[in-house]
Amino acid sequence: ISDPAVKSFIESITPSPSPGETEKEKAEVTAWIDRATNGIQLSELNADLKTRTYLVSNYPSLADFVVYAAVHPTVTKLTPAEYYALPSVTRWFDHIQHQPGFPTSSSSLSPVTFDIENAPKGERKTEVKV
Amino acid sequence: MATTLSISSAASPFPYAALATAAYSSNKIDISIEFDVSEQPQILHVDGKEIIAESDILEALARKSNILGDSTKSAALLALAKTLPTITSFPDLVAGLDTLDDHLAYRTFLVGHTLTVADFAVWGSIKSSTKSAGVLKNGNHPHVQRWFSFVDGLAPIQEAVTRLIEARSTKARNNKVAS
Repeated sequence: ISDPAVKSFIESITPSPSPGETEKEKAEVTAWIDRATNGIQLSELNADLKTRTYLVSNYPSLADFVVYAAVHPTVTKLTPAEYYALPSVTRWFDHIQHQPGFPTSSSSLSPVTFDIENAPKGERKTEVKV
Repeated sequence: MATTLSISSAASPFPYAALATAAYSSNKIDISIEFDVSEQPQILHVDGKEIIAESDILEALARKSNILGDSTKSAALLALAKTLPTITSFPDLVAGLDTLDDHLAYRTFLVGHTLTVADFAVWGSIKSSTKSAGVLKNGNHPHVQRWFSFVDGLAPIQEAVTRLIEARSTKARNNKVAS
């Protein structure tokens, strides 16, 4: 992790987030850290998070916190209409910042407040019984 | 005193919600899950009491393992879990899953930011209802699917479901020997 702000954010999380449990998961975490370094499009991240609860496997890992830090500057500037249009990013981002051990103070990455209660309903096509 | 949940492996609808809640609670409290072939679909032995109704079992287990969650927020979801398997009208079932999908679009779990009894109750009601599972297969409820497969894939739940399948096949074998 090259960005000093991201590095100090990660170091302030207790206990330290898992780097992945198996070799496969560790490789996936590394791939996400590379993606975060190169810049992540929120629309692509939204598509990735539509089918998965966490970025790697089924627990919060280092990948989630590094990507959280990487997209934080963009997410914090989103208007409600913009973050409602990215439901999976909003869901995941809000979940990660509510993890136990998430640094609450002395961090440059302050939690972002989302108005989830007033989120719009999804548009749906009429379902036909098959 | 040991807490024991006994479930009839032949129960129909199968009490998946009680099974999942007990399996998840086993990380937090001392509980054993037994499969039998009694008339009673499910029975919880806890603190010298016997609890029969599945919703009462969920509450007792959730209280003991501290996964009740915010009760004002979970009330409507627990009610949905109860009615979902009884809905026979297709549009009503789709409407119920639409509501759930909208809820889970912006929320990782049903109540708060950790798994609670509401997650296991609703997961169980979908798991035991072939109709709900069929509607989900149409792919119009992506957020429910994301959440459902997460709960479904949790290690203690997978393990409990595997044990159930084993208990059922043992029973089938015994029946064959008897006849």
